[in-house]
Amino acid sequence: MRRGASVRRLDTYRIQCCVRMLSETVLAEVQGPARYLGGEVNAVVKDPAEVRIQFALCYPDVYEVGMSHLGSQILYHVINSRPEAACERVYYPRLDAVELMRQRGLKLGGLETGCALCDFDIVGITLQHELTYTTVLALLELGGVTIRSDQRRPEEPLVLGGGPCACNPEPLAAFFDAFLIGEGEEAVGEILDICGQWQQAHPERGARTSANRTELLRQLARIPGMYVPSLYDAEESAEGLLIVKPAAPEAPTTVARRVVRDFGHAPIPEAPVVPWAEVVHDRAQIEISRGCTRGCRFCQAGTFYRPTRERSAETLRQAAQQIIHNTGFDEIALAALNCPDHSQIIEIIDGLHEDLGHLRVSVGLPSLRTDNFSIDLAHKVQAVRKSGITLAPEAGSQRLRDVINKNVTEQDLLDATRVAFAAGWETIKLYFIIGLPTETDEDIVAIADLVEKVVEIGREERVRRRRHLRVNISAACLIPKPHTPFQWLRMKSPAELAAKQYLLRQRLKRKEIRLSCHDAQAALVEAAFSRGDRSLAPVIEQVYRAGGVLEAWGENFSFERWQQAFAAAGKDLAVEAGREWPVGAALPWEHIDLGVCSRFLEHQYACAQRGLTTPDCRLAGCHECGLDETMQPCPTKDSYVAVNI
Amino acid sequence: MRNDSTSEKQRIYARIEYRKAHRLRFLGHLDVATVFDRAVRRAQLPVAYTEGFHPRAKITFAQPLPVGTAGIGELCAIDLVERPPTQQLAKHLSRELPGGLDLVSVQILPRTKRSPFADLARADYLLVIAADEVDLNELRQAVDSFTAAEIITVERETKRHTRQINIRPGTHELSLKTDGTPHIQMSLSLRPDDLVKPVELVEVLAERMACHRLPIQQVIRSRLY
Repeated sequence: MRRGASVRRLDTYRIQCCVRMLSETVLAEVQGPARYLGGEVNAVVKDPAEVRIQFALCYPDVYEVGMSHLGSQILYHVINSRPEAACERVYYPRLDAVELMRQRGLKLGGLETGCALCDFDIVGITLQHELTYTTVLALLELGGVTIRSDQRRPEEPLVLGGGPCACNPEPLAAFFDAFLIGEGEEAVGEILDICGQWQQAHPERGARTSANRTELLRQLARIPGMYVPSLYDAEESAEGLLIVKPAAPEAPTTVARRVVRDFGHAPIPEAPVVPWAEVVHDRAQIEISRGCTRGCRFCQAGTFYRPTRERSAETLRQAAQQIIHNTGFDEIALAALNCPDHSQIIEIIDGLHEDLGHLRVSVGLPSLRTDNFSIDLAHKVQAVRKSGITLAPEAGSQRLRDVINKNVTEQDLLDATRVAFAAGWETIKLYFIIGLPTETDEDIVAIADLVEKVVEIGREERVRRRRHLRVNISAACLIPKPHTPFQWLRMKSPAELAAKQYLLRQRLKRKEIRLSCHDAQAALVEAAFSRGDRSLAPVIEQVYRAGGVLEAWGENFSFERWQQAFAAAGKDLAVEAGREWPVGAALPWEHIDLGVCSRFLEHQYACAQRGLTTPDCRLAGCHECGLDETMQPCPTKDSYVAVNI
Repeated sequence: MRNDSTSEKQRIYARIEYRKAHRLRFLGHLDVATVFDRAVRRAQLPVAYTEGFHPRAKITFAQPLPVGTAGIGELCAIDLVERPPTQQLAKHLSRELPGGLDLVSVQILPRTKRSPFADLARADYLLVIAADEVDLNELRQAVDSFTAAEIITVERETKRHTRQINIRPGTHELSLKTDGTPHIQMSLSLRPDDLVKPVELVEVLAERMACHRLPIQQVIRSRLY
């Protein structure tokens, strides 16, 4: 009997026993009630009375977005495989449902049992990007949890944060009891162990004291990768930034990122929860590799997921079969920072076609680089679907691509698009970033010129029906991110970025081209929090109090509300985001150690300013990013030297 | 198309009767279609798939059910390429359908050129009334005056314009039952020329009440035939 099937049967029985978050009368009144139903195929419902720890795994956005997040599915699977723990999913409801819940005094709870957030033992919130920060507060409060950690009562749940934004947790430090830095699938077990022991020592929830809670936090701080902000004091630096220093013996000076060493055997969620309603990524996902060694200088993921690790084609093939058999999805997407970099990519795709083709399951590759998108690979993927393909040249001119270390030439890109058009694709999406350091108007014009050439190739290759030829351009704004060689840079102002966007729009007039630009005002807010310090907590709270939630959805975003909140805290949003720091300045995230040393980042920053590139370390040898010292030895250095791409 | 590989295979389909009830009645019609597509793939049934780059199992639904409405005799047809034992197909599909979307019966039938549901003419509905919020005598009068009338006109919006429609001919049965839980029982036409939607009928009845509203607790479609 397959595991997924047995879990499902248990559900159906338990669904009837559980009190659900929203009653049928409420469901009848909300838009798209399917997202509040719970009890999906593969949802794991455990009786709260039979587990020691209830863990609420929260995604601070709506169901459609949260259910598409692979990381959450991994943790859901890992936590629920422990018999003593139950993991439930929590998403923020849409605003019509929030309104109804407030009117009727209903608390936000888990989709599995409807248990309110405040009754869980642990509330874990994933932090994917900065515009979700206000929704974090909204989610806690709607679930009956005190938002400020120093005001949280002893009986309230422990509030933990994780995910890429935990790289610089400081703006959110006031709201979280602890953050996990790095990869969660191993650390979460250690957290459950510590919490379980502590709960056994203090079984009566109502009798717990704040001293008990501090004791738990101190124990958690001993787990590698755990950052407990309340055990650190903040001091103002010469640049006027709040820099934190340990204030307790348990608090390490630097918190080292957790890395799953044996990624090849790390747990794969083989029975992921199948959403009821259509979600953003409505397909199965399987992570084929983690990390990327190409070293694009703007990219935080390139640091955060180092070193590059792979799963074998055999492991992936078996897991993919299980996933499809357990879910019935009609598509499986290969997840990686860059799929074609996997040393066995062709074998993987062939294997999946062989195993799943009879079930009409298609294989998707969401992220492709331009330089190793081979004809062979094009035909493999083409066998399944021709809807669209995404390539990321990032900058228009070679000079600027060298600045950001995107080791791709114009010829690479043009060759790749020719391959794609010739193989039958009709739509190509190109990603660019504007607002890059040293960028001039010529670089923007170069984007337009490059796009023109791509359109020309599309015409030459005679896309079958000319009117179907489409080149979609996405122009994001560079947000300097902590732990990248661009961490010292200022964010360009909305006015500067708007001028660049205008120039680009003027140049891209052909009917085959669609241009979509990242909102420069939203990007400015993201930038301020991306590199912000502890003093920003009141700003987040103020925006939330003024009604700012689900701000990643454009219609809910208000730039004025952010400006006013910064002003109310005696700050200026444009100044906060627009600060350029000297190399060597103390930075708010100095105590977070991702394993890449500042010497390497400084060197990369200097190379960027001179337009010098650094080749992929798998091909050119170790660049001493620092990982070799922390990982001992670096698996990339260890195993990839002989890889021939 | 006629010479493709599927035409050499058996041209049969499974006629599925199922229930959509409890919380799953809040699934939209497209969501239900996706649930079936995935259930069929999990069950590894020998189904026919559509052509093209986005193949889906060929499943035809008799009549979409609105979000929130329960159905206890819903119908769909799954095109098959092989004839599995009916019992086995029922067992496998039933195991993969989530609780709330429950299999009632399966029949394997030969495929014909016409849609398997082309002959459907009527749908029966039960409307459970919130009895404490309504005067049942008044409701009975409204029902009686409806059935006594020969022409009942409602406005129906189509893509282009609003039309006046007489819904009386398509209302084959309408009665109020007050033994046990009070409910309205009705039988409405599904044919394009005299189609009646339950919501239209509810609006007409509500208009004929002093309070101009008819509190419905639940709508159940009980039969398609």
